Amino acid sequence: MAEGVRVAALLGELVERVVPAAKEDAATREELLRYAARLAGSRLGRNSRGRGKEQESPNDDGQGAAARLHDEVLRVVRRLDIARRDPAVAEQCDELILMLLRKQSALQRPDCIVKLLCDLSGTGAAQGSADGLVTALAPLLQKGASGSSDASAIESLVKPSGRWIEPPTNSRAADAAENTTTTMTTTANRAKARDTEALLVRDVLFVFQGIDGHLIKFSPENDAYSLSPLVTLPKAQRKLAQKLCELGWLFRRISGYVNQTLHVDSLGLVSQSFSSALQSELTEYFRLIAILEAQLPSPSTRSGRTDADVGSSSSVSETSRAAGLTLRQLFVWSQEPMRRLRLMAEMADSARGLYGGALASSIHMYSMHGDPFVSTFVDSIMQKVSAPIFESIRLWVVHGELADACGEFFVSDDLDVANDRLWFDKYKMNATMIPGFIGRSLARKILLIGKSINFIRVCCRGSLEDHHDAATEVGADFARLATSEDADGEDGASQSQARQNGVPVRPAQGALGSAEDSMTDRRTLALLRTVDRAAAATNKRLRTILFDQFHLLRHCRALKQYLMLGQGDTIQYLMDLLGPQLELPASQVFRHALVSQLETAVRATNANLDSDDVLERLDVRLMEASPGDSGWDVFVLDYHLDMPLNCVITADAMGRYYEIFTFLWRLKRVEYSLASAWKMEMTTEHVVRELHGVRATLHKFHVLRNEMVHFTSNLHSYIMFEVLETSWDTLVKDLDAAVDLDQVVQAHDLYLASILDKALIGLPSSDDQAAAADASPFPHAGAESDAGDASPASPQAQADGNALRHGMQTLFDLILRFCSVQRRLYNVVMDQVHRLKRTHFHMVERTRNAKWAIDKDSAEAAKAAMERDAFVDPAEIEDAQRKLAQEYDANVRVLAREYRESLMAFLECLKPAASENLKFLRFRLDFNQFYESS
Amino acid sequence: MPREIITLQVGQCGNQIASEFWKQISAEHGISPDGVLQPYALNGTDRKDVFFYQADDEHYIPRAILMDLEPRVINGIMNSPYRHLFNSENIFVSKDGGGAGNNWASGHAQGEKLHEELMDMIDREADGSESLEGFVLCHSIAGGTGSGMGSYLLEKLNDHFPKKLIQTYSVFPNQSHGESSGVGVGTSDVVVQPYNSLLSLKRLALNADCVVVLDNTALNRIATERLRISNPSVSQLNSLVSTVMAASTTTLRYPGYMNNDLIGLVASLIPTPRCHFLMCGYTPLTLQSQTSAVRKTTVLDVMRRLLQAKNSMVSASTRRGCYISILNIIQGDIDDPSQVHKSLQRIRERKLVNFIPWGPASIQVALSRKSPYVETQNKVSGMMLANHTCMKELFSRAIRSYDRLRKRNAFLENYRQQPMFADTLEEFDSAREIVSSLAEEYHASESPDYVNWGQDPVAQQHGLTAPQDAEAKNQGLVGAL
Repeated sequence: MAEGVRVAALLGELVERVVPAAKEDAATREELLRYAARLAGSRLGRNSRGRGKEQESPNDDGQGAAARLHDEVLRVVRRLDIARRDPAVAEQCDELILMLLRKQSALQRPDCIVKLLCDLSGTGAAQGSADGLVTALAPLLQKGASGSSDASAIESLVKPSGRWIEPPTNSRAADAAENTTTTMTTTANRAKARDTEALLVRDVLFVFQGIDGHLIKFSPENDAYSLSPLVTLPKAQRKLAQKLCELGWLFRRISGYVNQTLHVDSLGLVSQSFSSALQSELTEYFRLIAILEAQLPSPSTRSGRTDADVGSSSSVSETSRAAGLTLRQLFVWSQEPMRRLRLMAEMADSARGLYGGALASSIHMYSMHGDPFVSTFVDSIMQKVSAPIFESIRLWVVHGELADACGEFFVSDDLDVANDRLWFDKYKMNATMIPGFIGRSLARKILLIGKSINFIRVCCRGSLEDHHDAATEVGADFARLATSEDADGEDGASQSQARQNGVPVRPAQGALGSAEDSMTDRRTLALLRTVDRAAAATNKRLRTILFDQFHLLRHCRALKQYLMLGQGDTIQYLMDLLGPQLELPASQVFRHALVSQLETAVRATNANLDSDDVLERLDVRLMEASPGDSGWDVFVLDYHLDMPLNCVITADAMGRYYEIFTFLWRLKRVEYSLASAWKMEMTTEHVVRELHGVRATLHKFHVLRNEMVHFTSNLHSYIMFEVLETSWDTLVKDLDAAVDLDQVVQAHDLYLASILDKALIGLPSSDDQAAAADASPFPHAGAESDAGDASPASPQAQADGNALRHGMQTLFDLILRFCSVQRRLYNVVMDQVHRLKRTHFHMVERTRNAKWAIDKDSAEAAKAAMERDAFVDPAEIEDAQRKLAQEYDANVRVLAREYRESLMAFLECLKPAASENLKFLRFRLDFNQFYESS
Repeated sequence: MPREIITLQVGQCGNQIASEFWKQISAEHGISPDGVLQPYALNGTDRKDVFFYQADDEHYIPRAILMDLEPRVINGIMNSPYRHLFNSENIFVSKDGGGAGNNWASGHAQGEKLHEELMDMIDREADGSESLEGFVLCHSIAGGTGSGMGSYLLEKLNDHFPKKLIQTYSVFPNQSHGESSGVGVGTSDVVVQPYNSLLSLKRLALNADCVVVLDNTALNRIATERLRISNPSVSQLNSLVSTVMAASTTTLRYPGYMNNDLIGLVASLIPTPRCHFLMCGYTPLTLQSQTSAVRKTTVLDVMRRLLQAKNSMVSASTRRGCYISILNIIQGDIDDPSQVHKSLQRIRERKLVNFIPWGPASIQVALSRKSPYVETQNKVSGMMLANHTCMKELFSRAIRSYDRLRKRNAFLENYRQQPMFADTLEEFDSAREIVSSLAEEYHASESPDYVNWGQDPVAQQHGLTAPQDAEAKNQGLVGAL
């Protein structure tokens, strides 16, 4: 960009010089400019790949391009006055340019060429000699000829043509370029030039400090220092001065940034320490300037200055002092600071507007530079910049404190979050503030540690006293970190570990790699080690608190025992006790009554062996009732969890427990009803068997009941053993393996999800999964693979799941309906049995009293007896039985058909099920392939 | 404590096997012979209250009633270390001590005579429980007291506790001729055992809800063939029985998700009310002071062995007929619950079980804990309770033996001395009829047509309207009033 501008400016100058008339006539000037620009764009720009804006087809071979360029230059030169005035000069010019053209590199820059032309026209007009031309060419040659061989080539090019160059001395200085310049200066001009140079040097030194000199001033519109055009100066000098001015320009940028930020507290500590790092670099730079200044030939500065503090450079300054300071010397001297200042300026530019971790990241990017000079330099800055971050980390990791007024740290807290959501919502990772040298995974670890400490302190009301030792140890680690004296011994190991953790560490080069690692890398590694140690200590403490002090596993087991009906005897007794109440409509069921029954059940069964801590938490909850619900539908066992525990078993998780309970309770109820039906059949068999009229009907009920019992008991045992027990096994293993609280929470979530999934209670809808993902934003590696297995259910699978759930519901309803029909039937049958009994009793009585016939005497009595005891004629009973049998035969036939249809549909749904578990359920439900064959 | 179970041990055999059972489960619960909980068992989570209750001094007392008409066996118990275990109020020995003389009729008649005393004891025990689930009757069907008085009790209990379940552990006599030993004392050399058996079987068919058949023939065979004891002693056989009894009650005593009560245990085994005779099997079998021949026990091994005919504790072959239902109670450490799943799959692949054709049936598996206080050599052990149609063979065999005696009208004098048989031997006929109809039903249950059973004229001819046996048949009904 800058080049383009420069080219344009130079073109303008060129045009004005060649055609003075253009100065007056703007239109002509414009036209000429356009012409020149086209020329420069179309021809000269050809070879300037990647530099000119107007880049064209890059396929020209060098030779052709050179030829064309040559023609072009010739044409331009011919048009110049030089050629018109002196053909010999023109020839020489031609020759010189030809030679030049061989040095393609110099001519690849359109701006150089235009500048050359410009200078040619200027000097040509003024002096008419080749001197000017050579002077003009010199910087160009120097610029293009980057290697010494090039320089000497130019020398050899210039020297033999002694006709127009008269070298004053033959001494060849080490610096070819300088030599050339010196020799090229005419003796006449030398004194004047030296005066100007001295002035210039002084100016340049001012400029170095960002102060305008006499000749060189900062022009805000160009954003550059520029030499006053009034100064007549050899082009080389001018150029050199211009180049040196860059330092000043850089200084302005840097100090501008420093001044803007150094004392602005609101930008935060990282900004400030960056500024102060820059500031101290600038101080170093000032020292250099001071030394340079001391070498100025003025008497005042010469007197008794020592250069002791300049160190290695003293010998150089020794030699140059005598001659004063030249621009060229300055140029050499300024090379190193130039690089530094360039870097600093660049860093300052990229840091503009950034603060905190983001700032550190932006600087850290420079330390990845391959150039050892750059990376070491950036590293030293980095150390200072990262200091406040390390301090923040220390505070957070050791004490769990956030002292971050400006939001510089990558952990931020939300004070509005209540304590029960502390683990999930209170602390957030601010990704933009993660410094580059820390990386996401390490940052996550750090977040976790402080979060855990706060969790222990706030949610577990746990003192951190036990934690104290670990904390001091970690604190000590940090102290060592701060002084950067961490032992290198573990580097190899920790580096590979760092890579595993995704911490950005440059690969070690060979065996000596770790020694060559930058300070930042080593500190990152040390930090990683420290963080790992701190994490281990904190997590251990947290685990101890959760598992030993708050007995997490005991509560998980209690939830399994009661909410998942594992404590069979208690649940059974509870069902005995609650059954009659739960038959009522939901609106007539009262919690307090149920609670007292629950207490009775607990007291009377093995549940009373459980710890009080568990039993006190057991409670009854009535869910929202929809119209038509009975007590069965709304009753749920509840389990109260308080502070640290409800972070693992969250309210969401409890909701899922209720879901599971509702389902299992329903299944139990169905089973219970069937067991009652069975008991009714069994205990009445010895009396009912006499009623031959209904035996076949009853038998049909038995067979259907048997089918239903088979279904429920197999479903039940599938759910208990294949689902609950297997999931529980996994949970225990996962909890055992879980390192931090996130993993504990996740293990528990997975446990519930797998139960819901396998037990067909709720196939995870996409919403649920998203919620699960929210709950644990950083799934650990193991869990990720788990989550992969539980891939989102496809719509098809979801539809299947719905069908299964629906099928199961239908079956349950049918079974309950069957049970009530069966109960009605048995009531009627038992009634008949009783009436029959009484009849028999009468017969026997009368037989005993030898009243064989209903004689006249006893007729009245018998009639009365019949009325009193509902004496029934056996024939009448048989008739009643036949009717009964007919009615209930029809009933059972309908039920059996409906049941069979629903069951077949259910089995059909299980058939394509992808899950191994569901296949197994199907296998169990039809173990003897009865349904398959029918 | 809900779902209590009261054990009635009747007769010599009944008392012997039951006292072995109490020894076994006392040890499993960590209860010492005098009823004190061992210090190491104080924190157990097992459920002792089903079979025990706690006296005021915290001693555990079995919910058991010991009854016999002669004192020998009960005296033996009272002289054993377990004499303090039982509640002395619950021990009934007939005062004349003459026993029933291996006569069902005598046992039945004495039961009727002692009715009040016996029922008082049972009532008191039943009142002591919160929600009694039912009774377990231990007896043999061949002798006099266990079969006769046991039968009487079955009838009474059915009337008196119409809603309670009655399960029996019934020792069936040894049918293998020439052998003289068996469970209990000398039951197999009772000549009139076919009469006693048949009469008992009728009550088991009508009045019991679940009969666990302990077939002396099979037990002897297992002892000699599987355990390689050339001449198994009574106590060795009793120990086999107690193992089976204890194992079949584990799910009641160690509560889990399922099968926590008697109903839960047997409801799925008994599809229709009459087919309630269960056979059992146990593996690996060991006796005290004898190392097991079985070394490796996995769930699959155990489940497979349970299905082998040679391991079943019934003398009818399971190779013929089919299983109506199977419950496997697997005890011990099962590392991986999915083993059950794999075993079931293997069993079906290999077609190791033949199930009924008229309805769904499968192998139910109950996983149960093992007592931590009793050391066993094997990691896993298994108990099978199954309903198999081969049971009909036992019934038809009983009928054949009865027919052989009855044809000759042999040994009937002792029966005629009792009021029930004084006038008529109809009771025998009725019993035969009921037993044979049971055999028929078991036979019918092998066919797919069983669904429509009960409609055929054969079944109907035993109708109530047949006046000749109405009285006998409704004895239970009438007696209740």
